[in-house]
Amino acid sequence: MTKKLTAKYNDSCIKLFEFIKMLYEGDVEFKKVINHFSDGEYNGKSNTHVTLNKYLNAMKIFGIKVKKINHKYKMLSSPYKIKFDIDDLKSIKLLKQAGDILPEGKNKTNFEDFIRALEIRFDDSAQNICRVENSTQNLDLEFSNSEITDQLKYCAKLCKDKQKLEIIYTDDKGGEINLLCSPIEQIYEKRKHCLKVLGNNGSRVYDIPTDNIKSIKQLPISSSTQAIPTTVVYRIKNRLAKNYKIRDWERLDKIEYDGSQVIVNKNEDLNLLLHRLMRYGTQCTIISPKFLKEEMIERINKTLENYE
Amino acid sequence: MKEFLKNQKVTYNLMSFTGYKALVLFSLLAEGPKSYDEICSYFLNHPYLREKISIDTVRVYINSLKRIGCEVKRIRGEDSISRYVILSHPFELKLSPEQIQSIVKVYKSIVKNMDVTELLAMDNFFEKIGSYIKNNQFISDMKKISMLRDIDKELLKDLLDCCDKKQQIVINYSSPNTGKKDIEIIADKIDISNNKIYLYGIGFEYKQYGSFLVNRINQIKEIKLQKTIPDDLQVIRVIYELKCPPDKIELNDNEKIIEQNKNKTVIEVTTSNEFLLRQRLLEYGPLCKIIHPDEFKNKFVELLKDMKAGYYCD
Repeated sequence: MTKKLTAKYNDSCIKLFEFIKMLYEGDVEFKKVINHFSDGEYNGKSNTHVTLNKYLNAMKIFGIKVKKINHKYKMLSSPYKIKFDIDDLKSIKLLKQAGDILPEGKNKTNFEDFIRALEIRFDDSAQNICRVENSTQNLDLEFSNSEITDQLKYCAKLCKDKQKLEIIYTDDKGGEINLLCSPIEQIYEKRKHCLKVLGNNGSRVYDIPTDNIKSIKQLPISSSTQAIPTTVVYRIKNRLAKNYKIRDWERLDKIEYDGSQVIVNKNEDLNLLLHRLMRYGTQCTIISPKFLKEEMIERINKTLENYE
Repeated sequence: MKEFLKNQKVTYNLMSFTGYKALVLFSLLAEGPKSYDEICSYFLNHPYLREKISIDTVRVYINSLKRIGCEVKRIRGEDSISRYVILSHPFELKLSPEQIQSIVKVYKSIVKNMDVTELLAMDNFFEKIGSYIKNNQFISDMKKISMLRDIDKELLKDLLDCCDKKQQIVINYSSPNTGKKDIEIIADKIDISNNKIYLYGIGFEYKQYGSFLVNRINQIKEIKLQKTIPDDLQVIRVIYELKCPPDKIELNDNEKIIEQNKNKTVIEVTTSNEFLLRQRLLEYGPLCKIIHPDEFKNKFVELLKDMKAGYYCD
């Protein structure tokens, strides 16, 4: 170890690589860079800026792209690159879109740092694909939508403010629904961006596609922090019980002697859940809560009315 | 710099040669082991450098690279020639445990929204990242989230290919009721339903369109050169009405609109699998009314009555 530290080295080589290390960590203030190259002795008169330009040119000619934006140096392509193909770039884009709906905080910062760490290491081919994509938007990722950015920001603010909302949205019949609710989080459901909210009675969860929202009014009342979403218990049997895959928000309560299973479900939009359970036909029955059981019976009755 | 862009010539006034040489050496050694002669020859033939580099200068640069955190090793090959190589360096992709947790959280939030080709691409992407950060735990953490965790990816790719070409294939399938058996089908599509991956197609055994869990498919035993649609394939044509605005309707491949107005759409569907169709129509609830044929309609009404009875029996 001692031998390594006393071995002869080249100071300007170290300065250059340390500068690159700084750039890998994020944008670097001009002042910090000039101090780095002048060992903290820059007085505005020395020729450190000339030296700095020579280093920047060396980097540029080598293929490292560095741009000065608002008195900060930003590395656009690095000396160490990773080869990413078009499928990788699509995956990164999907992840980025999912990351956009994370609430502000450590998770979001950590995730954005990861994306930046990848983007800075894009090889030339990946950079070219991204450039083309940014100029033509020809990579159809289905839930890629530039207009959604403003919606995402607005929904993030609503979730952060934790105030009650009055939302007017259209349901699957095209009818207008006026809902008093508390925002929970933003999610993607069937590739659609949705705002997850808790109804005003504090028990019913709604996943409202933002495309269906006609207006949102923030009310001067704080959301209740004590509200707990309804727990739904239902029984599945026969072939469905054999093949059913428990969702992340569900748990298996028990297996009956006849092989049927009792599932406990929490935090799912009850309307979507009713649609899903209806699909299972006679192989599924809701056990509780009573009001949802009645809603299911009403749904069956209304469907039957079509044939009277 | 303008002069350089014009004539591609570098001068001492233009750039730091020391810095440039260090960058060249870094990239050479990061690429793989290089002997002094190989380094020297590279510098000599380099379009901007065109000069030899002494062994002492190489050592000075290597010492400098070590100082900034590169792990440089000298190895002696079977040809007894010493070669230098960078085993690790500070610019490699690194992920902290907190970052990995955040990536897991983000991936979980979209994994249920992705189709099979996207899941495959994402799986490969995370494998690539895992290999760069040299962290197998990361790869297995991501696999746990993916619906492909218990699926043979190569087999899945082959099945996707068969579906694209609508090929007639024989698969070996582990049926929960009858054990391992060969099933002949005309592959149609791979889709996710109930959080599981299914192969859809016309099955020759039951002469109907069906779905097969991909994780129960052991192998594709045969790809037939010619397609033979079963003679006795029983296809039914159902007409149903949907009471909802046109923009809320998402048609399947086997469906077509035969009449439409502001609040009502009449759809014709052709299928050989009544079970799958019934499931789809049940999900619509009161929005859907079956118009034709009477036999299918009556069975559907009976099913609804049985569903209702189920709530009064318990």
